[in-house]
Amino acid sequence: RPAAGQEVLKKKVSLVADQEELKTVFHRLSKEAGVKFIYISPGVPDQQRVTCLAVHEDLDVVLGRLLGPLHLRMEVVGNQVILKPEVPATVVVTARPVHGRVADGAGVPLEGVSVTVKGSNTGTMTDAKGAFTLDATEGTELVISYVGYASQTVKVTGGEVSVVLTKQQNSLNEVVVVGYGTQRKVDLTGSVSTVSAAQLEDRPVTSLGNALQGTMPGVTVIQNNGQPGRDAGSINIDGIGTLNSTAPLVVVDGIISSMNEVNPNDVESISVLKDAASAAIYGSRAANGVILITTKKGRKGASQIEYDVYVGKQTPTRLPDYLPSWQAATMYNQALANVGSAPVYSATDIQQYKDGSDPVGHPNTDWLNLFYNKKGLQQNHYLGISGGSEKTQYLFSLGYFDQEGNVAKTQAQRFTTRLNLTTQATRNLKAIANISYTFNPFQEPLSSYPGVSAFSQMIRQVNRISPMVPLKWANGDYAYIGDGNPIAWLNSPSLGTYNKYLLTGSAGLDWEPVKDLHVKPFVGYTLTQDQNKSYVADIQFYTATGSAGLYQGPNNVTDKYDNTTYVTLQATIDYMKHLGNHTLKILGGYSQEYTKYYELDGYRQSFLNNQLSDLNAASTTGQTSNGYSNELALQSFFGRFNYDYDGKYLFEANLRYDGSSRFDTANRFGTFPSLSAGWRISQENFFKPLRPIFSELKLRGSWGKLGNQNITGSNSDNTYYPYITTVSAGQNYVFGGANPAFAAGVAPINGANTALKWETTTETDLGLDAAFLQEALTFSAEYFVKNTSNILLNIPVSAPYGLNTPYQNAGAVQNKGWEFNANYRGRQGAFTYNIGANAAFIQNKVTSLAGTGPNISGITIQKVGLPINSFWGYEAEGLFQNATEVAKHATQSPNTGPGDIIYKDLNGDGKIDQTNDRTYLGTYFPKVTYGFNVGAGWKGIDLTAFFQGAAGVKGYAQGIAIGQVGTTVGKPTSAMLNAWTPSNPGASMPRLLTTSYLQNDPGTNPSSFWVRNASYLRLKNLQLGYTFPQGIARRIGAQRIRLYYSAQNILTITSFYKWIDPEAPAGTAGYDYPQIKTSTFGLNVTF
Amino acid sequence: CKKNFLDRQPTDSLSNSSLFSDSSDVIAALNGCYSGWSNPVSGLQGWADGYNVIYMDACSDNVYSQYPWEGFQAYGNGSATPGGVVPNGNSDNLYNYVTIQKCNWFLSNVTRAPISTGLLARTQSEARFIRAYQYFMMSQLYGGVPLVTSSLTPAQADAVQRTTKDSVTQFVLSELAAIAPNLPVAYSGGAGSEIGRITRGAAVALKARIELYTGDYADCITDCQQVMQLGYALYPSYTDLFREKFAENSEVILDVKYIGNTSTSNTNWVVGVMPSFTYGGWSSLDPLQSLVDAYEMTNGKTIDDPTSGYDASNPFANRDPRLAASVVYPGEQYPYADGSSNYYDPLDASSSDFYQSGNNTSVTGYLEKKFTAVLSDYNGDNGIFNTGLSMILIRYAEILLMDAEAKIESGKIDATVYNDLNQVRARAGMPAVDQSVYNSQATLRTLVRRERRVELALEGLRWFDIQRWQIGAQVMAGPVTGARLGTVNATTGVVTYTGGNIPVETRLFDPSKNYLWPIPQSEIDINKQLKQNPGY
Repeated sequence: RPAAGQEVLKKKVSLVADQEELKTVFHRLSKEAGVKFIYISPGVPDQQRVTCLAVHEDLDVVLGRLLGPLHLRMEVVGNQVILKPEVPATVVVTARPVHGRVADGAGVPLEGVSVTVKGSNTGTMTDAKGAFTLDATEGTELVISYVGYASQTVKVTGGEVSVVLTKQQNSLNEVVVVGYGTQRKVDLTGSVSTVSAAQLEDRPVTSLGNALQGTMPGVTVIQNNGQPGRDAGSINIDGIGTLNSTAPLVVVDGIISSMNEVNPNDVESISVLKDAASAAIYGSRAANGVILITTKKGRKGASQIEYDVYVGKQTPTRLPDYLPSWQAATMYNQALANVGSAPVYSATDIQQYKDGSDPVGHPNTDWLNLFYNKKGLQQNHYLGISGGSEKTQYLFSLGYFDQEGNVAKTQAQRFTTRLNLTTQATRNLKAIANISYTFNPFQEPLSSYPGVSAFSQMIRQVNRISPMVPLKWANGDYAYIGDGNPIAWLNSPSLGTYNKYLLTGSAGLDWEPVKDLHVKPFVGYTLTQDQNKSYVADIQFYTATGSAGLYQGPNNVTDKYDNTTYVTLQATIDYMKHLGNHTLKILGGYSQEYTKYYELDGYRQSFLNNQLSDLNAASTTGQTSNGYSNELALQSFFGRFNYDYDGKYLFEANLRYDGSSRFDTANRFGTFPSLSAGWRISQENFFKPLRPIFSELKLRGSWGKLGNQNITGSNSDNTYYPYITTVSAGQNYVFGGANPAFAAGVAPINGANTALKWETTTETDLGLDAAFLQEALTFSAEYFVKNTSNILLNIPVSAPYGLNTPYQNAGAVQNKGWEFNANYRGRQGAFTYNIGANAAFIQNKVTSLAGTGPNISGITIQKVGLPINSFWGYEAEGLFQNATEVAKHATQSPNTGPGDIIYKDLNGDGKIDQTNDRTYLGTYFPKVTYGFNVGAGWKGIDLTAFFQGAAGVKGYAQGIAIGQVGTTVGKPTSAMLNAWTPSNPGASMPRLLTTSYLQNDPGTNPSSFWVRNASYLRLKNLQLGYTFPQGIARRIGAQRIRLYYSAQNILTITSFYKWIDPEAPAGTAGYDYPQIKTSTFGLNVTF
Repeated sequence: CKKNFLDRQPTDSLSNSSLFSDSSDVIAALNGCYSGWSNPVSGLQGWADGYNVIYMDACSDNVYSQYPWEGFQAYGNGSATPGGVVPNGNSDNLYNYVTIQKCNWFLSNVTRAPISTGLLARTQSEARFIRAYQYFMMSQLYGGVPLVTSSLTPAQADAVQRTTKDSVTQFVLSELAAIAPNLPVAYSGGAGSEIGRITRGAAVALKARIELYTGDYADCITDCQQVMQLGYALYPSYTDLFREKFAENSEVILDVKYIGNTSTSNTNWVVGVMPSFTYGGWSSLDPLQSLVDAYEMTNGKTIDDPTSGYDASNPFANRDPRLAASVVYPGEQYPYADGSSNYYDPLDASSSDFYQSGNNTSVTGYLEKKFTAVLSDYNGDNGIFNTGLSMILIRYAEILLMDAEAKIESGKIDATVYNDLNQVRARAGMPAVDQSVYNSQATLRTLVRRERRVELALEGLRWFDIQRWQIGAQVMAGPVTGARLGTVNATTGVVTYTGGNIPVETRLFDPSKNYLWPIPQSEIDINKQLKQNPGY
């Protein structure tokens, strides 16, 4: 070949083509490389769409990749490249299956890698474990290529093919799921965070929501309960945006759904649309951000069978460290002395509590140990089968998850199945159908406490009953306190069972009647059913002498059935056009959603005994039933326009017009626009010299408005029909003499507001994405300001109104903050490693309450200028040391004495009162949330550690969570050993007082004394895995076998109380099931 | 898409326009006025409720409410503040217009209904009575309150001003006068009957009560006389008068109705707050020594009379039988719900009723007994938190005592005064008034006031008497105590006293402010037109 030709072919070119016409690609290559392509159409299919990615690669390599699958070959003459159809090769050798595996530099298997036999049209993709199988003849070459990685060519030798692809482009080139479509990350102009399946894999999380904790900046997940079935964390995106529900919208494969119904194993990717511009396309529901979940789809190629299993056990992270009975007795005496009363326990009593010589009269009952005494086994099984032909791909999965709690009868299970199908029905029509079913039962014991059968009541009583109360009297009957005995309840037949059934189905078409014009109708349906049954047994307690004492009853059952039907119809039309360097995309759509909720419940009491629990087995006297339904309808029209100039200048605009059945005709629709733009500075010519180190730099900015019509609350008429004046039934009374009977009544109860309209969130976002060192290091940062106004609030109305207050558009909230994300990957020989970190600094404050407020609720306040639900109370100034100090200070309460908390007299009027002397004491919403992970791999061994934490966060614990002293109720924790006494003036706790003295009580007299730093750093997940060499795997017919140990929440560093989890709810008063840690062993096998 | 896709209507509520089409609609809407409001803690209440009947005595020198979160302790000890109203405590429902709003709605719509003029007049009168009762209670507690007689918008509600207490009272009196003739004297029948609806007697009796409170003695006497003609009679047993099974007896003029043994609505669970832990209750309301000391000896002499025979080491012997019927005292044999027996022992540390145990035991050493005298009434399913005990709001004994007091105050002391008092005393098992001792307006005033206190103890009226007699500074300030300390012999119930009375709390009373409750701060915050009561 002429020398010039060789030079031409070694020219470095960069190319990004995603389903572009070959013609266009040649055009761009010829400009970039300064060569001319000559070919004859139709011999060369110049309208064929191709995908190719190359950055600074040799032209011949790029062309080889591009032309191989098209059966074209090239000749170079001067600076001209002549393209010709390849002469078909005669098959002479029989092909046979070749197995292989593709991983990245860190040993992480790569999924979706294209593997083709060079010069043929045989090809396949790797599965989730990076494995592939295809038929090839010995001596031929396999071309292994993957978006963002350098392609490789491997000769087929007969053995297993093992390929390590090195990263060439960074993750900015990933394709990201956005509203009603996908976009390459490089083209994003809004703020979108993503998590891939690999990041969530093999963690023993009970729900998908909890798996997100700490993985993305600005996505705050707070999990404050570890009870099986009740442990779903709350998710906030970019702060607490409203005084209403702050839950983001969750969309699973196009259908609005919930995080917790999806099997984490089924998930392929999660995108979080954080700013208004990217969420705008989901306008009517998107004000709190949108989480888009895409489930796995089948891939062309041989069937894959994947089986994952883990088993493990859990234990509470922290339990209150209550003191033994002798100390409880001693400290109660001390409290009595402090209030001027005589001691109750003699030295002999205390000695007996200490030596255990009188186990019934002077016991030391370890109630927590009697309560949290189960192993808490957890297991998860997942079977996935996927594959497909050229035209049809499928994925079928079955999942089973079973989690037992550490308390008897606490259990949650999840049975899932899913079938995802895609088929190319005709040349221009693709059909997609997904169906999934989840059965999600959980159960918990219930208490027989009158009127409050909730399990939390049992936890409260366990944290409250003194170690000086025996479990049982000498005669074997359960001992009890005024509220009962939690262990007697636990061992009774009381049980709450909650079954959730969720069926989700969807079907959609992608029709391309004209080139580049896609018409996509879509229908989605979900049916959610809950069947909840609470059976509360009655208990007759007996006194120590055998008389009938406390009776808790009657036994009763509440059987509740509800059903939610959701139907959505959507249609989008999109069109894309390239005009030279200009790329235009438009999308228009319509969506409607209809939800109907129906509930029926029945209550009966007075069963003959506690053996049966169905309604019919109980008496009809005193039975009640309830039933109601409500509907919600939403209708939306939306459009999107994208413009891209040469991959450098990016622009997007959205417009959405939304209507909700919650508003009266005049205010029903709202219009929500957004704009965003991006500049890829790194694509500019002047930037070229920097590329070797600084490979990507993008600036982006967005502005947009989003609407919210969601009103949450338990009052269905108020929340679903807030503008309609109604008269409520069920306003009954009783008439009659000795045997009175119900008389049905009606009355207006709910106020209505016809002027109610959409709540609006306006968000401005500025971001920067950068990549360095051949994409080994990536970094992004952003700043946002989010203002929510016209908040749909149930603000108080003056009492003479006399109705439940109507919702009004009142109040505004602002969130603003910074978010950062950085990742680094590296290798040293066979040792690979990666580190990643993210952090968000978010401030929030109430900017208006529409002239009302401040609204004080217990220890928190909603007040203009302060963060939402800030702590509100007295400012503590230490402890009084003597009576003179008490006398000199402003009057607090008549009982105040040395050892009590000193409250600051803020208005200086010489007395301490709640109206004038309370102030802002901090907020429980973290100022900073962060996460970081480190991973390493070496010859099949992989280790990852994932840390997550929060800083600048305040916690508040009260009541029995801190400890109390008493004879039968209340027990001290170890912290109270350091209570104030004259000889312990530097104490960390105020003096001990009996429970009727409330001057230091954190609930009655909230003060900064009880506000603690609840910042924490948690080793959220630690995984150590080993992938067996392929030779061993193949001996049992598997492609890949990995064994691992995984642990969740195993280490927490915090200065909060050592027995209270820092994520416990603000103001925790000992009603909460503890957070748990989990250790599991797992196995992944792919066949 | 359908044009009306977004038009959705509730399917479990009615619209105003479809109501009031016949008499059954009218009755249902009227029943709605009786149903009161739904308390987030305790479920549906009646138009008046049992809570406020029994908790109101904690605002007086009769009772100590030991749990601040139940909302009444602060009113008893003078520490109530505008911001200190306990959310969901029992007292926060007293500044409340829910029932008034329902009545206003009923009254503005009922005229549309095609019903007989008789039924129209009766139903209107019932609703007007219920509304008047709310205004009576609120004006007693807060003084003048906004007088609202029609539906308001939120903006209007947020700008209403207080009407003077006199105007509110005049409104209530004129309403009661207007409606009384339209109301039946009684409703007859058994189960499912309409007993419990407002009667003429109720309207006139309430009117008499207000006239007594305002010092309008002549009208009060007239009204009392009118009630006396309506066929009411004292019930023979003072104890049984307050038991569920003897509800609607001859003495009851007005009560609020409950039904027992149901899940949440319309049960009178407040009964359960009175007994102590050992008896399955909470000991929320603990009688004070001051109340116990008010009861005479069976010979009609007060305990501070040296000739009365009162024995401080056996203080409960030979006392007015109403003491034992109203209060459980140390060493008293007080049977459990299952009928087995026990001597009530709040004094010994080893007892599960020990006053200091902090476990739902009385902190004064006394328990309320008036509504819980026979705990076996509430045995089994129909437990003390699930009762159908009607709470009496006005009974005939009060009419007799009002008649006597009005006559004493207006100087018309004649045989009818002694007759009124003797009827009440005789039913309780007490001797007739010693006319040689009680022979002047001043001595009779002392007697009728004491008689009111003990006869009506724990029924929620004591505070209103303190208020109108202006005796707060004498009876509401200073330390209050409970029973004397000692030991109870578990087999005989004999109490050996070894110490002084249990100190309970030291109360404050400022006559310039404490005769009225503070308007809740949350109301002042919303409605800038609303002026706070003096001193708060």
